[in-house]
Amino acid sequence: MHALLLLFLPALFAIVSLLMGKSAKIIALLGSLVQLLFSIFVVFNLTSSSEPLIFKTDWIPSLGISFYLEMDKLSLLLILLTNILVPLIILSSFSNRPYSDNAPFYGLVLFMQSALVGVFGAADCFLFYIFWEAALIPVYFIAAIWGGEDKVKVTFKFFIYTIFGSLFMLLGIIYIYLQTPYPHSFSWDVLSTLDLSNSGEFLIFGSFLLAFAIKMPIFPLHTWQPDTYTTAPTPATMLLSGIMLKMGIFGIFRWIIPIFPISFLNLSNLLVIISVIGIIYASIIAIQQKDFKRLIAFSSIAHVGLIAAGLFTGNVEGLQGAIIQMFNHGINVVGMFFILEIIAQRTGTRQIENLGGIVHTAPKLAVSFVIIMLGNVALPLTNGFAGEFLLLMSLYKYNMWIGAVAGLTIILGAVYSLRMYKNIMLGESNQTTSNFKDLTLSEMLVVVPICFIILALGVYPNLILQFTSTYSADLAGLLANKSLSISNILK
Amino acid sequence: MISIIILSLVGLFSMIIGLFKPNIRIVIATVVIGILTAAALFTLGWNADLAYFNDMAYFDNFAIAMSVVLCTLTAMIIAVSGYHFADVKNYKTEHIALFVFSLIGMVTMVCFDHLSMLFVGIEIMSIPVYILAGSNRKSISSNESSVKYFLMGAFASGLLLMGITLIYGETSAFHVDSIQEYIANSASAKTSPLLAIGILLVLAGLLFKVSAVPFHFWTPDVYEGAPTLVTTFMGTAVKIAGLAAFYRLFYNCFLDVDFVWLQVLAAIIVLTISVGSISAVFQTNIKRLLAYSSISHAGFMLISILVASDWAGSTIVFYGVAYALASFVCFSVVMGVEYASGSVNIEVFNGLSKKNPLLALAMTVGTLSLAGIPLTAGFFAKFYILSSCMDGGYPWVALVAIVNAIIGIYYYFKVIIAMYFKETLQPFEVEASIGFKAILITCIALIFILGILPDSVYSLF
Repeated sequence: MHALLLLFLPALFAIVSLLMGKSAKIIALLGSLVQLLFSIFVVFNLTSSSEPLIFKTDWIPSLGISFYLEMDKLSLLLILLTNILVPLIILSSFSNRPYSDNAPFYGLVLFMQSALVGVFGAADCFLFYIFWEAALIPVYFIAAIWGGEDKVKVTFKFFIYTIFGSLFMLLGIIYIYLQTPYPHSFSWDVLSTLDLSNSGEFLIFGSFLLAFAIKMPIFPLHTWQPDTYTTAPTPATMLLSGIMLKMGIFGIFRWIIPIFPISFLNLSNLLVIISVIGIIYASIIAIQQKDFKRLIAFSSIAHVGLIAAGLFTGNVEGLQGAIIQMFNHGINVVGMFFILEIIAQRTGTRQIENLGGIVHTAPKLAVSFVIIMLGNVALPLTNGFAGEFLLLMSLYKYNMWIGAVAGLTIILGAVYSLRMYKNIMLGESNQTTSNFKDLTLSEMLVVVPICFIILALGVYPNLILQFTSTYSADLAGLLANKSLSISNILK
Repeated sequence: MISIIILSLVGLFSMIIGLFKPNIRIVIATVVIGILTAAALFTLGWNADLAYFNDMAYFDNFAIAMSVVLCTLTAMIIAVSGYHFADVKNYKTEHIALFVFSLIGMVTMVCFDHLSMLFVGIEIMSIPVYILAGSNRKSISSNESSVKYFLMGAFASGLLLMGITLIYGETSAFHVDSIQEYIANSASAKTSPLLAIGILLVLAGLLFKVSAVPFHFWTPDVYEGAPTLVTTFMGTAVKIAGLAAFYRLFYNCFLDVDFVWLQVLAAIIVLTISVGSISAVFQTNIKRLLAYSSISHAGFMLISILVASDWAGSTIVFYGVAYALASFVCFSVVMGVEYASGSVNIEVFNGLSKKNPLLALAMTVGTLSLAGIPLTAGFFAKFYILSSCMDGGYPWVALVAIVNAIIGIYYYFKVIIAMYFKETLQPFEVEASIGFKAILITCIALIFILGILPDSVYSLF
């Protein structure tokens, strides 16, 4: 029952706020806060009992499709991330003219929240696919209605790109569905026991991976991402980078590893190398960016590349690091985009070279910007550190040279982040920045929780590590077993 | 049986009442009620499997479901004919009569059990549509449309008749059951060139009716030239009636000699889906775009005949309903916009969401369903087709279908983008009557209901 409430509360509030007209934003904020409190309650409950939340009922019996939600710890961590970020995103858009009084905007954000909870909670592959697609529609409309220059073209490219991936995944889903014993079923527990080794597992694995890799995005499927992040209005960018890309990583955890462990292991070498190439490539491009929103877009590709690389190693450090870093990246990137949005709005420019000296008039902004930026470059005592440390360790264990190359991300990340900070905040103020106003109260309400989480998880990362340790250990155990059995067969 | 009589009476009534220059709205209301009564009476025969006219017509559940769908669809089309009749001065009730007569032909096509009934049904359906396509007498394109459709249609009917004759020559039977029995029991039939050529000719004749490639060339021109109300009729009812007849004949009759036509059909499906959706990408005229999209959808529906699984009939009915609902919504919005602006270019849809939010919403839901986005009826329609296709051993057809579904999303979204994200070019007001709005809202609701609970139709039989 809790699972069902978690799923449908946001949609309910979405409908209410659509009907409220001018006061939609208040309803939306209240609704998302209720949802946040409820999910914190659920998470605490789960920590004590450690039984997953389950809701199961028939949906389309003739096809063996059930409305099957199963929220284990990984699901709940990501649902919690979603529910922390959505109120912040809603609050952050209050001061933003074009959408602050627009009921459809808040309705779309809340519908998206429902769909995201569905993606993270679905244990029926068909249901998962429905939510996967349903999450795309609201953010497409937000980006295409309230976006910047060239919005229609850019968001359309994004839409077609992601649909391209997910339709192939649909074929893959149908294929594995037909492999299940009669009566066919889509549910996770049946699919994860399938033996696909004789029946084109590799191709089906590819169709799933394509969808997930486009969503994350992993190099070389990232070409939609910088344009979309730059053009979309900041709330949409936050939704995309903070939560939506986690759908792809989550998909690998929930669906790819349990269903296709053998293909995963066989291809992990190639995938790790591609991901590491992506890290270096995106970091180097980020260094050259002049538009700061674009810079963060590329830095996001680099960070996701590191998460993916650690994940594809399949060892326990990699899995654990990927989980914690998913959470941290969500918090950091949303904070980053929010700070940059404030600067862009007040100065009317996103070009780094036109800015400078903001620190003189806006000390509060400067402090919070430093904290968020350091979280982004994974300095010790910020949240990014524990995650990146685990990920790099897993890569180092996997292969020393790959680990060494991936380690460059720390240096390159520091280069572009610190340079950006220096050029925007420090130095002499000029015409555009001399009258810069510091954070207002409502902006503080967004920034302070983000900074708090960054520091709290930096000091005590065990909060998440303990919560998910059994999950990642089990998954790593499964992969180790499979690779053992493969090598036995080869002998 | 009684339903067909009622439909004929409704048609005759509408034809004769024209002499007395009645109020067109009253005639429309009467005809709609008459057709819906006939549809309701069809359902009385559910599960009864009644046969009529010396077994020439056979109302199994498939025929009944199809008849009800076709009647409802025709009633809806007649109900939204307000825009159409605003431009027509004379012979209004005769137009309505032609729609009803064509409907009778369709009902004959979906219930036939005898090849002569099939042929007669196709002719009864087609001839009124030839006339209707040219009903805008002052428009050159309407005349062109009519002549083109008539010439091509007559040619196709000729092929069909030739095919039926050859099949009779081999099997000496017209009854679907007897033909099937003969083919199953006779060893020589399986190698007979006479039968093979006959089947291929029948195939060609029917493929023309559903506008499959390479018999599709008439479709865009005819759809574009005909008055939009008639295009709606051709794009929805005529198309799914053709497919139903196709299914009935090939599924019940020729499965034992499927080596003759299966590979041909598979190639035609791949071509139909691809040519339809790739050509649609380049269209700037919304009616032509929907015409090409209807070609592509015909290819999708043919897949269920290709696979011939046990539930092919349910799949065709479901796909037919989903496709017809969505196309009906799209075409009728086009009709409203065309009436207000006088144009059918995609540009006139720019900014429609501000001019008339309901019409824009209806068009959006319609195109999303045609594109097969989840939670709309069109998604499950595609899903059934794709899963039966993979199950039936045609994964490569499924792959082609998926690639074209992606292309489909591209061109359907062009319309959505125009309505929501582009600025208006021409100032004009789009008006919609309350009845029109009510029908659109019902259709939107149905599209979502079928998209959330597809079992409500799919598991009917």
